[in-house]
Amino acid sequence: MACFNGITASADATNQMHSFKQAMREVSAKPDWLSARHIERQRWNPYSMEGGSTCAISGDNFAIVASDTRMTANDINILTRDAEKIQVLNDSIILTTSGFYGDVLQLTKVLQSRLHKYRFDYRADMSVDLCAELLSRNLYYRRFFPYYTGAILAGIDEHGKGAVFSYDPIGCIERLGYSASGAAEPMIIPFLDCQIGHVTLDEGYEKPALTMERAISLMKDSFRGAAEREISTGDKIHLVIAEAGKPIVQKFLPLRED
Amino acid sequence: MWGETFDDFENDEVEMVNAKKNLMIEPAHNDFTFQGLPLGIQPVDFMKTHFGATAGKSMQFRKGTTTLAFVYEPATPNDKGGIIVAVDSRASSGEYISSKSVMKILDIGDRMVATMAGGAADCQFWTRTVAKYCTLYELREKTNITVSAASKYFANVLYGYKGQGLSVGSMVAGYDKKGPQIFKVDSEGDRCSLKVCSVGSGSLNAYGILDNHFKPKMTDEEARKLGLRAIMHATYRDSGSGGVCNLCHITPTEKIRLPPMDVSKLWYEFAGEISRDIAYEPVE
Amino acid sequence: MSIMSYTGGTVVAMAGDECVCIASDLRIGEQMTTVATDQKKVHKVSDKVYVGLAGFQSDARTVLEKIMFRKNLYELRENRRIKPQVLSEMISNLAYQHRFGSYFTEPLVAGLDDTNKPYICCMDTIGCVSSPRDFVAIGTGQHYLLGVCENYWRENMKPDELFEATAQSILSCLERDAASGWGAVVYTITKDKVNVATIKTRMD
Repeated sequence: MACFNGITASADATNQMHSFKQAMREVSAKPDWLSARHIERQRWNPYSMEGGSTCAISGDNFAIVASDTRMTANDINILTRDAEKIQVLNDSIILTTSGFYGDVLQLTKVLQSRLHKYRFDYRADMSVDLCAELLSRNLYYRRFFPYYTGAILAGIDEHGKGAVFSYDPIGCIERLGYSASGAAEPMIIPFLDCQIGHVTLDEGYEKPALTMERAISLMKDSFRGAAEREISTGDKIHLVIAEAGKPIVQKFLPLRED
Repeated sequence: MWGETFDDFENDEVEMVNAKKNLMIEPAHNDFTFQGLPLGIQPVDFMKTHFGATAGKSMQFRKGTTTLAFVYEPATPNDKGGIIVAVDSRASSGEYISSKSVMKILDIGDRMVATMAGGAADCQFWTRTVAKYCTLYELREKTNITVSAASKYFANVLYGYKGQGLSVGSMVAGYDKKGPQIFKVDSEGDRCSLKVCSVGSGSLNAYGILDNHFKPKMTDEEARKLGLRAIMHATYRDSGSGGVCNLCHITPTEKIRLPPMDVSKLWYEFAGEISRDIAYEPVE
Repeated sequence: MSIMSYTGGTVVAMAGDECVCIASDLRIGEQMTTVATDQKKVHKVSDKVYVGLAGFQSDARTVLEKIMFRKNLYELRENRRIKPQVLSEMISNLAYQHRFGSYFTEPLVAGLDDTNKPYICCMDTIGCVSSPRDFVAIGTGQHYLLGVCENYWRENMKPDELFEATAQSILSCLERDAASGWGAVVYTITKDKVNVATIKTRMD
């Protein structure tokens, strides 16, 4: 029987509260009904990682997107040498994704159907800014069971400027000048920081403008460097070029195959 | 009543009033639910396994921040006073800096802002939900929403997802009929009103500067400088913060966004100010 | 956060034509907090032989003491200057002696041998030596550096070119690595002299 007699009682109450909280923590972490089989299922893995890298650069009136075409299992077995990681969604939107290929396909399908519905409802193609927000929200809707993908959306916006949107797996969105995703992201990004962002140059130095030719050659260089050092990147570069007022061009360039 | 518009009731004023009442009724609770994991899988553990420190660099969620806000009164009649909100601009996944230019001051309406610390996607998504709520509220009630009400809605939403692994530390700041207000809201469901506040991995460093130099009465120039200075010192010591300092000054009448300042440049300026020797001489 | 990135730090070395460059950042941290910004990870072992130690800096200091002890003993016993090849073998040996309780540091050796041929190598924590002809990188910024160096390294670079390539590489790396930075130091080792340059970097 609990009775209130000064300090002892309140200390008692604190202790009881403490042990109650402890018990609560234990039971919520490992409830009674959680059998050994259930605990095993905690390590349930619905994802796999198919590797590969993608990258996008935007300029004044163009956006170029590239990815490798290798698909690997467990980083060592090559499943195919010509996987498509870039999807051209309409004349001004390109989606490129790396990560779990099942989620890549699902995400593409979701976006394609939403774009189709938009075309049906509004009799116009969706702009890349709208699609970027749409993608961000669709990624977040799976907050508690995320798509295992690193997505980049690129294209030409309503003002005819190149646009690149970068995402994390749950839809943190940001518009950037250039972005990369996938296994070789940490190798490509510092190089582009130096060459496009000119972060290592002090003020007052001449900084070369980003023309389309320069962007394409930088893209090739960064993938060549990544393929040299990163095992799940290689085989071919799939290059997609979107220029304002022109149809989208797709190219395949050779890359290391070992 | 399906598909009716205001035009259908032009002649009948009573019906018009009723229709307006029906249309402006508080929106029904959204029946949207997030797709969850299969039964018996704990979301927090699941996230830790697949998107935690062991996951690839591009699979980790973006986070890490220093944000601060404080309320001050004008020292001279020429100053405006109000709220200074200052933030850094780094998003990191582990040790990798995934972005150097994140805008961490998000708008809620045209008088309020929310800062973003913790999971970047969580903050962006839920801030927008709050913004939507505030807009609907203002249309419905024909009055400005108070910062207190907006932050309470925010806190309630977050409390609803408590224990499911959301990570949000936000400050809702703005001017309303009660004056300048800052509410700190986090994903544990906490909500408190503060005059000087800082959130994020570098918050302790920022508090160090704020507590030392904050005065209730300051000139605008002083207050902005204090915000910049606190963020700069926080970015210097905390590797989770960096980039540029974005600053927003909310006065009784307007919201002024100042151009971003490079914190590294600020540091070199500061080192010059106190004539600190920045040259490093290696010794063998 | 693993113990290898507890204190942070990055070291890179590049080989050129009769010259090598070795560079490191200056940060020491305790996880997210920066504690000191004047701790280089490159240490002089002999006139033209330098060693870089990235990883957990308490272990790195201990290992450095042990390296110096062994190198001094070698030079006294043999009465000649130590070659970088010999030093790397020595460090590899030292590291493997602690196979089942290793030091949490990755060593890197860069230097010129008797014929002024450049030699660079890096190891894992238990002493597996890899000695490519182009460049090596260790520490928290390894991945960033490997990607960037791949694009900057050219065959037979002269000392000034080599310095520029190394400096640009480490600057680009520090731009994206939160666990290292706060200044950098570059040693250019040529047959006549060793040139030391500290470079200004971002302080966040």
